[in-house]
Amino acid sequence: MAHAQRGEETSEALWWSLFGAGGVVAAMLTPAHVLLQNLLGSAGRAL
Amino acid sequence: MDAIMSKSRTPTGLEREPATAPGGYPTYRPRLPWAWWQRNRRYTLYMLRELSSVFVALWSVLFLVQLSRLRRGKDSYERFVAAQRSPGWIAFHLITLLFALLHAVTWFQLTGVVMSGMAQKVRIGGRRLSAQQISAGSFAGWAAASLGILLALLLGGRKDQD
Repeated sequence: MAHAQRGEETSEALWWSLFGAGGVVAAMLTPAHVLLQNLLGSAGRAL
Repeated sequence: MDAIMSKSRTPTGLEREPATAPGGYPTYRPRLPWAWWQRNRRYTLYMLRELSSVFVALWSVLFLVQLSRLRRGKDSYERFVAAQRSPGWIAFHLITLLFALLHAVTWFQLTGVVMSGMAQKVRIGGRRLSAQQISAGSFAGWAAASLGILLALLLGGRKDQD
């Protein structure tokens, strides 16, 4: 019983860690990419 | 009798459903109006934050398409970039930027709150970090990553021109 519960906790931790990693990557990289590549880059002003 | 059997709504927003319980008594179920999230500023911010994931996901797909075009060659990539100059795409990227900023700011604020509340406390040199310190570190990391992307694009572009 405790073994099964530990397995559930491990899988829950895995999904939360994937969610957290996705959130961090999106927060760290997306704003700069959208601003520099898609807005300034496409306008041909900066890059 | 009709009043007992018909559906009705209470002043507090509960919907009365006639005779669905085993004993034949009417039941009451909460029904949220579609605009419930407009009642409170925090609810609105929450919904906007959830909506931000849609725009970030759409942008991620577009980014993969951009990489695919880059792999196909210069002409294909330049056609893609030229198409991005249309007003519709610029509007999409502006909205995506606003949502991405909302996601980033709220995410890093949340990071401090969540990590400072964990059982395993975040420590540097034996000193426990507060929520504000963790958030400040996250914002500093964000600034460094953004600067790194700017430099990579600027220096990478210059190297290609040489």
